Formats: sequence, C-alpha cells, structure tokens
Amino acid sequence: MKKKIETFHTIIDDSGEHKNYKEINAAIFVSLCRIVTVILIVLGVMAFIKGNF
Amino acid sequence: MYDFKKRIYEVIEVSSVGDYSSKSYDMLMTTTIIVSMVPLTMKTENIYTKWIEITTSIIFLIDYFARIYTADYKMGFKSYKAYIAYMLTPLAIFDFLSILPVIYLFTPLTSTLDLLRLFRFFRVFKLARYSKTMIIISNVVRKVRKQLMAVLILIVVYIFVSAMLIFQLEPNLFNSFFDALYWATISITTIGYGDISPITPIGRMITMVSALVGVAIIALPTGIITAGYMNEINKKKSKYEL
Repeated sequence: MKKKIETFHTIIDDSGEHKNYKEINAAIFVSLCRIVTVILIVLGVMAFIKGNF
Repeated sequence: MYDFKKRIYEVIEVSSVGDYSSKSYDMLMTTTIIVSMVPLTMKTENIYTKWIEITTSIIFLIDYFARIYTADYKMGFKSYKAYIAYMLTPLAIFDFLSILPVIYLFTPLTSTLDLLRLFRFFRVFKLARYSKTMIIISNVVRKVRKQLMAVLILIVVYIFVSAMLIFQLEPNLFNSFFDALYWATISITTIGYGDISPITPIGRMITMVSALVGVAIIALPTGIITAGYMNEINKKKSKYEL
C-alpha cells in the first residue's frame, strides 16, 4: 500500500496532536522572495537597457 | 505556542545563521533598494521604470508597516511608547521619507510634489541595515559625532567669515551673499572651479589664506573618522583574540 506523503509535521503535546505547517510556510515564503527578487532584477536590467541605449 | 509577531521580527531583522526565510528577505530588500535607484539614473521614464516604482514602493510599504508592527521587539519593551520611539529613530524616518515619492504615482504632479521624487535617494540609507560595512561606519560616526559636530561648526563659521569679508571687499564680483558663500565653500574645500575669482589684491590675499586654512580644516573630519574606524577595527580584533 502506498504511504501518504504528508506536507506537515505533527506535534504532540499535552493538549493533543497539532499540525505544524511551519516548514511548508517557510518554503512558500522563501520561494516568493526569490521570485520577486528575480522579477526586480529583470525589471532593472530592462529599464537600464531601454533607458540608456 | 507559535508567536507570529516574533517570527516576523526575526525575519525582517538581519538574518541569523540557518534562517533561510530571513536570509531570502534580506536578499529581496537589498535587491529592491538597488533596483529602486535605477530610475534615478535616467532622464526619462519608460514602462519598466514605472513598474519598478510601483513594485519597490509596495515592498517598502510592507517592510515599513512590518517594522512598526514589531517595534516593541526592536525597542525591547512592550508599550505603545515603543512604537512611537521606533518611528522617531533615524532609520525609521529614512524609511518613511523613502516611501513618500509613491504619492506622485497616484496624484497629478505639481512642482512641490515633483520635489518628493528626490526623496528616493533616501532609500540608499536603508542599505545600512543589510551591509556589515555600513553598520561599522554608522557605529563609528555615531561614536565620534560630537567631535565631528565641533569641526563642522568651525568649518561653517569660517565659511561665513570668509564670505562676509570677500563680499565687503569685492562687492562687484558677487550678485548676492549666497554667491559669496558659494565662493568661500569652493575655496576652503580647495575645489576651486574658477567661475568666481577675485580681482583685487586684497581679495586674492583672502583667497590664498582661505585655501591654506581650508586644507587644514577640511582634513580634520577625515582624521577623526579614520581614528574612530581604526578603534572600531582594533576592538573587533581584540574581541576575537580573547
């Protein structure tokens, strides 16, 4: 039987089981930052080329 | 319990080892600051500079409000006064001034609003957060600010005295006292553009004295900052050696 891949960690404490989405949220945030960084670099290069050449 | 506010604070402050979220945020902010300077290097706007303005302004706005939101962690005490104290810090003021130019994107330009575009250059000071070199330099300047202020006052007084003297001795040379101030500044800093040059022997005598004194006075801030910088480097070295 195939094992289901979980996208969250399970934290067990006195109040019970909790799903921890910390890692997936961090991965989404890091990806978003990197995408926006690349977009900005592209915009900067295009603006420089269009403006000065 | 997961403290969301504390996590935002950890991300927006300079990254610690292993914190990839903070590191990627620092990279994003550094890129945003540098790219936001590109429109300032151009005479005319194009579609890309407009999009750069919109994108960078949105990022700076989000960053500014995130920093205000987590100001209690930054200032180290939990009270409404922490938020106000943070907003009055130099970096927060620079952040606010660098966001102001976004106004011209939403309203028609008047001559006053057009001046707001110049505030974009304040964005370069934001790099002080993300560059270790600039942090060291700002620490040095903060430590020697009293000595620097004393020298600056001396320079300003000398410029005014020179300007007043030359303005009285060569009234035909200058259209206004501001021209005399301009001449005095250019002479004392030994730049000497030559656009205004004295004709009379006394005027030339004052220029010679001004140039000689200027060499000594203008070198003072350099010496003060260099001494402060060497102290800072030696302190760091001895910290590692211990």
